[in-house]
Amino acid sequence: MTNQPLITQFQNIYIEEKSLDSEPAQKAFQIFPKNHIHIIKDKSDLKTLSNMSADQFNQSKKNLLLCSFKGKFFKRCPGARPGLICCNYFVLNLGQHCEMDCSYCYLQSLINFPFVTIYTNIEDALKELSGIASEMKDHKLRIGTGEITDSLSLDDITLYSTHLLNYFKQHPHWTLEFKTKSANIKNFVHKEHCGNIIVSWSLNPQYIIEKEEHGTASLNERLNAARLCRDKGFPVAFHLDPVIYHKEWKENYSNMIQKITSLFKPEEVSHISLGALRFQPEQRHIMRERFGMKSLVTKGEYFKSKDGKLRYDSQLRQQMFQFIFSQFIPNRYRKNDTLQNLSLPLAESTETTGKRKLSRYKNSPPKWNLFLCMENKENWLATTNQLPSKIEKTNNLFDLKPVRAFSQLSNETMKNA
Amino acid sequence: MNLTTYDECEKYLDFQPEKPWPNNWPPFSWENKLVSGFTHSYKNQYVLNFSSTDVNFLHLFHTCHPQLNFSELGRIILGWSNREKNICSWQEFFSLYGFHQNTESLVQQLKIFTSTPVSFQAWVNKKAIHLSELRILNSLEDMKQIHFIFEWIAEQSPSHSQGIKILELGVELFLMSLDPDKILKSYFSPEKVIQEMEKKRNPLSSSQDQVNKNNLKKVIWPSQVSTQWQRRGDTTGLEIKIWCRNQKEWEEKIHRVNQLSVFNRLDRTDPI
Ligand code: SF4
Repeated sequence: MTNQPLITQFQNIYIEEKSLDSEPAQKAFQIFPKNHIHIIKDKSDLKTLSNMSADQFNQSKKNLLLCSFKGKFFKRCPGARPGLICCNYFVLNLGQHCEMDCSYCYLQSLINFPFVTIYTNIEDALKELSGIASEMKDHKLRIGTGEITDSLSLDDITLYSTHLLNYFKQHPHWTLEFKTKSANIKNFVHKEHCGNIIVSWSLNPQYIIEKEEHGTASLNERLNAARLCRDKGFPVAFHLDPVIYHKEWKENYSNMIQKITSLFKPEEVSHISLGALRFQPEQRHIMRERFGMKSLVTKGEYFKSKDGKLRYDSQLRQQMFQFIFSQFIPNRYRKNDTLQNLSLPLAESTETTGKRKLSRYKNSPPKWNLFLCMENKENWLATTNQLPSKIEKTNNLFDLKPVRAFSQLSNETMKNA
Repeated sequence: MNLTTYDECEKYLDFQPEKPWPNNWPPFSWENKLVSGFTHSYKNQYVLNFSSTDVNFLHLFHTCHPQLNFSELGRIILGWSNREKNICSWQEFFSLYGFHQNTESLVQQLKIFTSTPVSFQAWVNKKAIHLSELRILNSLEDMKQIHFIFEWIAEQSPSHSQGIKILELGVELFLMSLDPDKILKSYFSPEKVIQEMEKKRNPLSSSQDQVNKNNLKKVIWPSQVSTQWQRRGDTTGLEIKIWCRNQKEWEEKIHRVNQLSVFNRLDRTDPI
């Protein structure tokens, strides 16, 4: 399965009058037939829709809206919840919704605006970032653009990858992550950068991609794109998330990890995060309506966890995490599959990526920088034997200083307002 | 406002309201369309007819029927569908009844609800179940496929939460071709039905729990120590209750429980 060409994905393209001169609008005019494009006065003329039905949600993926955005582009990662260990991460939202169609996608319970939306005023987003940069210049921020939309799949319309790459050259101590399930890297991969743009892929075995990640790039396409980025000196990262339980999960995940470890060296991969399938309880309905009960996602066994989301049984999650962690260690270093006796192998820190001479694990196992995403303390301990803040090379990811500084800055701004 | 007669009025707005129109009031109509007092008992009687200059249709209708249950709303949708455009928009109509968003999806859900058996609808109305709790029904192509579930619920009248759970589990089992009818034919207690349905719906975790429960049975516990294997959300574990009269007894029992190394006997390592 590969990404469909944009022209076939969208039936209706709506462009707000004041965005007509923007670069994305100009691109849209080049890509889409004229009779598919509608000019609208203001996006507020378009209705929001809470609790979308399956048909309405399906239709929403075929509507593209180009408009400006008046709110705050920069936010703390919404994953932060009580009881969960969350990494220090910020999001820059340059649009919302996605034209691809993963059965588990959390946007199904989040989106109440039936349009794949691209914000056309990236210059305002960058201005907002500059304001934050002047206040938080000493903090090492990690920022992602792939939280409520895919970072790159619509890059042929937005061209945001290039703008962001140029902007982040001026902020070398900050890190920007493009997170994607596409293989759309052509607009930036050949450009000069200063090593602080991490290009990351959510990965799943091809079997899961075919069954559950509709309209996304295949595993090979994603890995090939990652190789090309690596070859051009971009740090790459992988998110094995969501890990989906199915009968052949061990074999499928093991094969995928074998592919990753044969194509990449730990030093070339900034980090690999791991998370098991989870979703808001209300989301089960729309998933069932859209994908039936044959989907591996809908027919899974879920229970409410402390944060209110539905998750696999904690024991099963632990088992899957331990197994997957163990697969990153070559056989000769494994004491057993469950990793109970192994301490977490870690990669070199991001700063040294690419600079260290690579030695193919002569006397010690390879050090991949693996961590769990949105998991509880119990599962961290069971999987890694340690909490992230105590692990030498992940502790900077979980350093909450920038988060606290940002909260303080937001509070002060609110007070002044 | 003028007077007209029952026979002269159009009656297509009749949605069979469940509350009778007050005896001492004449029926109301709007532009000669009857809006209340639909039953034949009003035949040959005078009707108070309002015109569009007197009052807006929706306002009059809402005054006559300030509260409607989902069956009534469903019948309105079905009965008025072809002609409603002349009178009011669904969006305005539903916002008057407190539904402010996504009319299209609400209309779809009401149509689905109206196609369930009347006895089931009565249970839903009696237990004040909200339409959003019946969203599981949207996954079905034809409500007739699961009449046996509706009938079981209507006959056994489980509580609000039990009924919703049975409906959701039942439909999911049906969609997974896992024969929920066998369970419903075998049991009459809602607790038991839920238990059996969950076992079928979640075979992996149920069988793991069962293994642990069976292993627990083999353990010989000290006297006045009771145990139970329990699921709490996404985790399972052992609840141990110890009854003791003093510190010494407490220490003794704790020591003996410890010696049992009970977690080594439970199969918690490989559920798959
Ligand atoms: S690629 Fe991401 S945002 Fe798009 S449908 Fe899949 S999970 Fe959702």
